[in-house]
Amino acid sequence: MPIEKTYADAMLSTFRNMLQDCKDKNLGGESFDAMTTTMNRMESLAMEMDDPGAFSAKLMTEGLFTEFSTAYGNLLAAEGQKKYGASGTYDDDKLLQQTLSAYENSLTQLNDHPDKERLKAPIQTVIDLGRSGVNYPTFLKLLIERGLDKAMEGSVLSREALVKDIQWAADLVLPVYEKRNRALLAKYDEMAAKATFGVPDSMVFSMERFRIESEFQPAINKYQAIIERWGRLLELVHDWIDAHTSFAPYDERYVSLESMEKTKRNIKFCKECYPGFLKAREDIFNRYFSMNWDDIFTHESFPNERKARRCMYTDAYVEFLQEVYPHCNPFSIAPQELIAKAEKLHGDKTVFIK
Amino acid sequence: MDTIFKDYLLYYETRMKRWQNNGIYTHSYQSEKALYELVASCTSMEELQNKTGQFRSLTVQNAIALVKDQERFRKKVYNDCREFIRAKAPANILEKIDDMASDMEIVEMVNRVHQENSIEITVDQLVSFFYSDFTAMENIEVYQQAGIPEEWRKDCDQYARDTMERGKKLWLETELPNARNWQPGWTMDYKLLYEERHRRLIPVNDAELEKKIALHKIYKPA
Repeated sequence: MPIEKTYADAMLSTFRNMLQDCKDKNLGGESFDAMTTTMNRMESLAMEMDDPGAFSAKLMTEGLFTEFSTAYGNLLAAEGQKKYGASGTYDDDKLLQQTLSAYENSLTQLNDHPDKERLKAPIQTVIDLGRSGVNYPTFLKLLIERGLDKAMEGSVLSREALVKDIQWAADLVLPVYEKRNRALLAKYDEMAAKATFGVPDSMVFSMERFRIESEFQPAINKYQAIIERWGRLLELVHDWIDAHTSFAPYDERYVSLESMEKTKRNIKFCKECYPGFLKAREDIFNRYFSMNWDDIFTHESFPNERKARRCMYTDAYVEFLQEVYPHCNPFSIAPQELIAKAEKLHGDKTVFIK
Repeated sequence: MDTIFKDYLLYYETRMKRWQNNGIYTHSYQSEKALYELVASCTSMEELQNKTGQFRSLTVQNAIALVKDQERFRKKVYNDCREFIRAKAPANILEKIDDMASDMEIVEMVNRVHQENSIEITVDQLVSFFYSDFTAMENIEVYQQAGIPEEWRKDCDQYARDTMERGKKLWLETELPNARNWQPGWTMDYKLLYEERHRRLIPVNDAELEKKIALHKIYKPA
């Protein structure tokens, strides 16, 4: 069975279009033949294989994308040579007009892009510059001097994207990400200030970005891992105390659709096993991060997660969980007054923030 | 001197000055300087067109210089970050670049090296299966080791076995075959986890890492 059509189309349509474009222009020769052979191989694999993951890996490991793109590049270069090479005539004004036409075409292609206004702005500036009456070398010189060649690479947009990334991390109360994103913007601005024409070099910035992201990733992983572990600890205490309440048989955490007997069994399992699970998970939490139950509430992630509403417990319920915790021990049962309090908090709908 | 020629001279001067005093683009500065000096040695477009052969050769040198500068910088950053697999691509390019005779040869070589390296990176990152299995391995540990009443022991042991079985099934039926699409015969090389690029992403100490590796060998056997 072949690869599903939508998937094969998504992977191959760009290459099909490139090949068709060359056919429409009646191009031929060695490079064109190489493109056709590579395309045929990709189409055959799409017919022979059925797993999209394996198909994608095959295209990569056989180097088919690279082979096709290289042949396409060679074909275009050969065509360029025919037009402007030794046998072709050099025409300064024609070169400028062709360059501007290419930019104008790219403007049309951006019409459907969600960020079209911002992406179009530097291209439009380039076109306006080219149409201002300057000759080709002056046009090229001004592109460099005004940093427009970098703007075309998306540098203008990337500063805005960096600012947005900081805002995103602040809105989601993710301080480690925010710190990383601020470091990225600071590096961008530092490079812009030093750059000859005020625009950072995109290659250098992309590598500095890699360096900063590599530096921050361990802290991000640790922060997330801590949150995941304490979240589970709170949940265990919460589920354990509620398993003792009168509403437990109707609560989806314990209810079995099979039978009331199963539901009762789930409740009993939770009451009797969760304290042991809690201690085992606390032990893991301590071994990994040298943290215990009390440290949850002083760790910076706790207020942050609550502020971001990813930890939805109310203040009253957090206090209650801290009150329950000392009783949640293996082979223990919950004290009656805490069960009553759990029922009240549940009844008053003060467990989770609204 | 005609205007168009004067403007070309200014353009090549701007290109050269772009890299002046830039610690990264040292080769590019030298090659742009050579190109500028060639243009500056002429007095008209006609004279420059008579030096087409020299001009073309310098533009290829320019491309080579740019690739050298960029790849040298990439190699440095990857090495600084202890990303030795990623650093292979710039190292390979730098090894081959001086043998290139045309811009298309350069493009073709760079593309091939990057394509080969992207596969090496994908294969190297297959060890990330290990850290993504931490949650399941913790569940197994909790089921097996929690202090629980004896009447639930059988159930908890069964839950641990079920988790193991699900993991093994996913591993043998999906994850391992997918990994082997990238490298036939691939197996998890646990030694890689101690290499800094992988180790720093796993936020637990070495003793915990060792315990998890021992469990993982049973959970997801080669």
